[in-house]
Amino acid sequence: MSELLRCENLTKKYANTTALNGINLTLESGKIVGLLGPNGSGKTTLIKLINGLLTPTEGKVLINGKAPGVETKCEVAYLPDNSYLNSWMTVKQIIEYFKDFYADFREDVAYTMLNKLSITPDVKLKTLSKGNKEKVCLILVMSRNAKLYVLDEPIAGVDPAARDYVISTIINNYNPEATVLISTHLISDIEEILDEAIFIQNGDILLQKTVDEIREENGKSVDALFREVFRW
Amino acid sequence: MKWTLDKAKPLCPQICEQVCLQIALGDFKPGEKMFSVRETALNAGVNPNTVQKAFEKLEQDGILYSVRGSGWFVCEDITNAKETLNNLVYDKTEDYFTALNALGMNNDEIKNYVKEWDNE
Amino acid sequence: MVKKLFKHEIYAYLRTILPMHMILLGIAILGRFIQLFENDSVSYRIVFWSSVVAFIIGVVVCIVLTLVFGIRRFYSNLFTSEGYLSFTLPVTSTQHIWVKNTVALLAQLASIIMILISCCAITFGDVCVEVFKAIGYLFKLSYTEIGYHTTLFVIEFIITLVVSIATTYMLFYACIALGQRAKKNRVAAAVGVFFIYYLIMQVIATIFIIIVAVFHEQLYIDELITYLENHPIFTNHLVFSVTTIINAIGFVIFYAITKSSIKNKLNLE
Repeated sequence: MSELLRCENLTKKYANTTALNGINLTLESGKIVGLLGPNGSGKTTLIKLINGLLTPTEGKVLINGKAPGVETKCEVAYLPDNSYLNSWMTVKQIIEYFKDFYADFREDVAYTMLNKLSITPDVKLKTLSKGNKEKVCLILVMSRNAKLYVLDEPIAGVDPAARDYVISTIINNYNPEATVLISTHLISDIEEILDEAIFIQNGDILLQKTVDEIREENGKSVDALFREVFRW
Repeated sequence: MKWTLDKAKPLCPQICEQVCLQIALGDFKPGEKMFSVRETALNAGVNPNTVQKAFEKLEQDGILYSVRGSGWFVCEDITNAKETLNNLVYDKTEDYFTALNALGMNNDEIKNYVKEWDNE
Repeated sequence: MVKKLFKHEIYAYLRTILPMHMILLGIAILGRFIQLFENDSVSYRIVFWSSVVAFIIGVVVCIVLTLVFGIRRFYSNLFTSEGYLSFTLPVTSTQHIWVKNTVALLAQLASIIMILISCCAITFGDVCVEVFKAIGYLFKLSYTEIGYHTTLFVIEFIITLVVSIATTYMLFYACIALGQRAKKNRVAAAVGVFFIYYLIMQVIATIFIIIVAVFHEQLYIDELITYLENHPIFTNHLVFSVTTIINAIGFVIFYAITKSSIKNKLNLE
């Protein structure tokens, strides 16, 4: 197991709030990791820093030893928490786009998954239902053969059937050498597929452990522990 | 096969146990090929790494063996899997007796009660 | 990777710019068609002048929309939710800026060429031939009378045009990129930056004029003007090159601002 992601004293301050408070964090490859915390705890900030969409106020974030840049972007597949695709594009065009820019994009995998959902390639993204649009985004990301997948709130606001779809898509495309970082505040929905859990609150890392350790030490599910830790 | 996992306990040992049950109950015959790690993970709704770990644990216990490139197989000798089943039966029985003892019944009363219950 | 970036950028432009060009050409052809029914009636004159006005509006709209689209494309593709994808592509910020600027420039040049073609279309026939003859005559005249080389003039003009269009876009990019450094209301901040820039340029121009006016004797301004009047070719070269150099300097400054803002201070909301 080699080190894939490292945060050193990573700090991000906005106008009058501190979103991340000098966190230190290491992720190994070959893990499915839950980044768990209530809304506004710093999950999205950390994820945007990993993807180079934000500049750290202090400290650094390294992916395979490199700061976010062209090289890391080849290795990191990112699913943002909001819809970010050009809505005038057709499904086929967006696949072409991913194929053009990401050398690790597996076109056949993407089309197989779309076929299963009966989404035709010629349909425009804006005519898709919200649920299908989110599924297309997930398919695009999981069709890459990346080293690190970063999924920001992939199951927030989706119905139970869609949640099962998201989870099985992640498991189906999971490559044992890669790491998947999933941020969510809905732990019970996802805890069975995690190896490791990171609890984050007010910009601090409270805990980073394997989920079986958490269950063994506390005699309760990760969700139950989460509810206890974040009781207000 | 329906998987019932208790999220309040570590998942890996539970998966080991349930695979043993599947084997002891004949869902998988000795020498038969198991579902792949990924298929098992999808069926159980858990992480493939956890299944991998569970299968490796079962290999150490002499219940499964892996063949490079073709997957996981059930060992010819399934006594260990059967033992897990027996242990589970034993534990459940013990739990039942303990629970009814707490309700004020002694062991003989429980046995009689079970006979009556079965006749109904 | 740059090639791919170009491909998708050009495609995004074609979707918007091409239909607009077709509409302009359509107006021009329709205008020429109307001229076939030329007569002295009031109704014809109304229709004819309406077509001319429509064409002129079309030309202005074409230039303005191309500019607006170029600016909007830079903003929306990089700094709205689309930026989540643009900035997670394995592409550097330098490549993004250059590709955006180059394609915006090409689009504006395409619009200009399209306008010229449309002008030919609306005047198609004798009028068009006459205009070309007149232009040819003027070029010949400037060569025989002043000794001014027509080809050189055209080349200089095109270079000046290209550099100034590229600089115009880069100026807006720099304003947008600087606006992004604001904590909130980033579009308003970009507009603010633009007006501050505009104000500073006005102040510099005013100071320059005051200096020239006050010190025109010490600076030999009158002699300079006389010299320039007597040397029209030199004056032409001077105007083109000074404009180009000033624009080029502006381009470099705006580019540096844009790049450092994106590279070091990117903070997508």
